Amino acid sequence: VTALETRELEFADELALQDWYRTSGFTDGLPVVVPTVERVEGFIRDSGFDRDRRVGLVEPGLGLATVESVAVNALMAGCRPQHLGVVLGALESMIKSRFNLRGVQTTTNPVAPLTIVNGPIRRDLCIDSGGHALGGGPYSNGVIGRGIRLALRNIGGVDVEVSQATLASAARYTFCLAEAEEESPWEPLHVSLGFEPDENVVTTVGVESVVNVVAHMWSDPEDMIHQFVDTMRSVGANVLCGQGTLVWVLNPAHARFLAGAGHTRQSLQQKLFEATKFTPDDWPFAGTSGNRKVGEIEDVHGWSPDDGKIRITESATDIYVLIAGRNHPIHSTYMTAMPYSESTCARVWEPRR
Amino acid sequence: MPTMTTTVYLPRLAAPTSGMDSARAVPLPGIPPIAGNNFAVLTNGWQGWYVLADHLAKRLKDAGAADVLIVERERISNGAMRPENDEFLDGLATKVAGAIAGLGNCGSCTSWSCSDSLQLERRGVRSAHVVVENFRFIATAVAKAQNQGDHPIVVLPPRANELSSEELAPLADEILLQAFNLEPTR
Repeated sequence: VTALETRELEFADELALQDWYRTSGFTDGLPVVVPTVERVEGFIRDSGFDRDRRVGLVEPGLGLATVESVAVNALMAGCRPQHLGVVLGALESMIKSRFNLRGVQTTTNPVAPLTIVNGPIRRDLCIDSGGHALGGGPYSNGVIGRGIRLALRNIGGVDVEVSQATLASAARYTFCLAEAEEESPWEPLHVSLGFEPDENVVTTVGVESVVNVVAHMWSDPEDMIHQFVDTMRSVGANVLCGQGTLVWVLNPAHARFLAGAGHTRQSLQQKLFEATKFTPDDWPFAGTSGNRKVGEIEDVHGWSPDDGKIRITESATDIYVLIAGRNHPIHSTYMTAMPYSESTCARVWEPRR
Repeated sequence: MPTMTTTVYLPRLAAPTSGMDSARAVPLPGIPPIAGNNFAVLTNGWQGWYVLADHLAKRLKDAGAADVLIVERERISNGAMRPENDEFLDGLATKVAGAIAGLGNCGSCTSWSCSDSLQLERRGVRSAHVVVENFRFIATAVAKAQNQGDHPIVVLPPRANELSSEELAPLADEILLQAFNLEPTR
């Protein structure tokens, strides 16, 4: 069975329809665009995609994501047909095994899947990479991120009982930004990951939490990096129990400050990687966490310690650095990782016209 | 109040298993005799579960099991939270008649350890998943999603992972009773 069900509903007004979707467990609690047959047919037609084209199975319920089933959720989220290719690409990326969607969808961790958009489509769709890239800003970021979330929720069969999140996160409503490629002193993120500059690519990351870092008083770039390192060595970070992808979103001014001191993205990654290595003695809860002792973390990771020290990620390239935000040299953002969820990428889907 | 009608799409497939090839579901394997057979206990990092695994191994051996393999999840999946390595599970299934997988003591570890148990069942190994009460629902949901809704799931009290060895011993008896009909001796 791949076709979605339709249902004829009798209702008094639009609010009654909204209540029906909410009480049926199909929403994130916010109002949705009701996916009437007419709206869905028009949405798919205007998107240009073949409605039966498959994305894959969505964990943990193993519902089948197709253009049709994703389109219904995207429409409910407020997407327009032109947003659908980004939503489809993000889902294709998230169902790759490295992303560990089963874990992401069922964990107690507050993880929210982040979608980073690179390539010319950022401009075409006006996906914000500036002052409200992570919330409260333009239209596309919100509806794309929400479309992805509703698809994960509804196609993956993740209602409030299946999700075991302890508190969850506001980022679970929507979590999508574009990289400010034009503002970056370095190549775009997707190029650093092996794609061509003119390709439209989504990079997806299981993000545990978003940490703001105020870094406006440094005259020495190395002091700024030291501050970043201390932020990353937070003993509460779940990533210390297992590998994941960490993300730094530097505002353009911070990035240029570091680039002006000779740093490339790669040298910054390496610096952060080396400086965040820790020893069991650095860990205050050794042997008392109810899980593994920190001295056994190398066993969890499957990595050999370097010089008796344990790495925070498997390699320096697992610390992503991208550029976004307003051009103020004050705040940058660090994103801790859901353990055992590694970043994945996919091209934005293009319709077969 | 006057009403209107409209036809809408549901955003979720009719059943969570709709995308799954139902032919992959398998009959529940029978309970093997303990005596003379090999068994496996699948572990996944929880300290209390290692203690329980030792209790389970001792009880099975006391009951005549030929051997009990204690297998850490990294060996099953090439990573603590990765899909199962089919080749490894195929090999394990040729060595054991029964298996117990645990511990479901968080959301993601419940879904993955339950999946390990389900995967062994698909290979003809009588297996049971062990989960603490808080995460029973997710284990059940994963089993249903894989068309193995009647998979044996043994539920332990909350915080079982933090109990002492003495407190865990009777829980081992309960697990073996439910998983393999092995009556307690104490």
